[in-house]
Amino acid sequence: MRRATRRQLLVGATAAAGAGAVLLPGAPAWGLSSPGILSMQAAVRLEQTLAVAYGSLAGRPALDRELRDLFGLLADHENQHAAALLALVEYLGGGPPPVPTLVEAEQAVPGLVAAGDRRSALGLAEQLENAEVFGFYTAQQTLDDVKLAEISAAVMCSDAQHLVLVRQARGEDPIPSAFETGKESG
Amino acid sequence: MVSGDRRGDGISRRRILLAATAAAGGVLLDGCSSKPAKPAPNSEVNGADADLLNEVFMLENMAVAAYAHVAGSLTGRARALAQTIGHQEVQHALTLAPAIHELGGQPTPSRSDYGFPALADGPAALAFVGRIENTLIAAYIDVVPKITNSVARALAASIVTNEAQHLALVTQARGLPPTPVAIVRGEA
Repeated sequence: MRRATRRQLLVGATAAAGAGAVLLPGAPAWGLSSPGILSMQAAVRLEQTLAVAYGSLAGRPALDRELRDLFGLLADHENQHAAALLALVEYLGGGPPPVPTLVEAEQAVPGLVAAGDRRSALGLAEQLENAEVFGFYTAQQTLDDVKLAEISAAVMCSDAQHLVLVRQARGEDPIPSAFETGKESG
Repeated sequence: MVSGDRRGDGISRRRILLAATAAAGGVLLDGCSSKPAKPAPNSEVNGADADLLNEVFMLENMAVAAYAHVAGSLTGRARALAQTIGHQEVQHALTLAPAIHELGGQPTPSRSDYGFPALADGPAALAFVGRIENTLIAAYIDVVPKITNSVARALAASIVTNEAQHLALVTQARGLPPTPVAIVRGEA
């Protein structure tokens, strides 16, 4: 299976669910195959990958307790996002993608391995959350399925709240704009 | 003009951005007082989308009034937070109004009195605006998937994310965990 580049992972996938973009080009469909299911599975895979990444950060002794707790919360939420999206995949007749390993998450999220201090870890988290919000925000403009649009909007709102927590931890203005769209990952 | 239209109805992304920028100025939330934006040439209006945006526009006006209502009950950081959020609600309303016009609708004027309850203290005030934010989020989550114009949907999506952030901050100001759920749907 080909691995996704970071850009494909964060921009193409997220909620490309429904938009037709696919996180893992050339990847097999896990179960029934259709463009919608494939992109949904890609979104599930993305959320699972971020859950593994945050779980990894939450377990790093070099980070203070408060920060590890934050990453633990984010990991838990990403897992719940994955579960909610997976429920839709299964509703559409698709199967669950395999849960990524830590090695796979490290390969998919550049910067994860090196995020050994507060600054780099929070910088990475802000980048990831911005990319997630941007992905869902972009996908919202093309999603035709009401159920899918609804759940992806609810997940997008959660990621927007994550941005608040991460920005606060970085000492930034938590709501710098009245219109939150996230940012495309570079 | 950039039509984000998935069905041929027009709404100018540039106009939305201009309105958002202009929103930094004064408050003009009376839909009847707003200058109608000229629909884009050769575009079709979409009354259903206008109605959907108007639903949340009315709630935005209510939110603006709600944050003004709680100001006297709050002090310090909580008051500053309410002022910041209240200003962002104004920006939402000022941006939605021209969008509704462009879709062929007429924004419903804000009410002079929403019948808000008297608030005993700061915690009551924060709980009150927390309910307002939950109401807003629930309304947007309901409305966003139904909007057919992609630019209008994008606008609504960019606002509901901000409302979710407001809810987190208000909840945090109440001394509660700011992000208690992973699937944020609000509460009607």
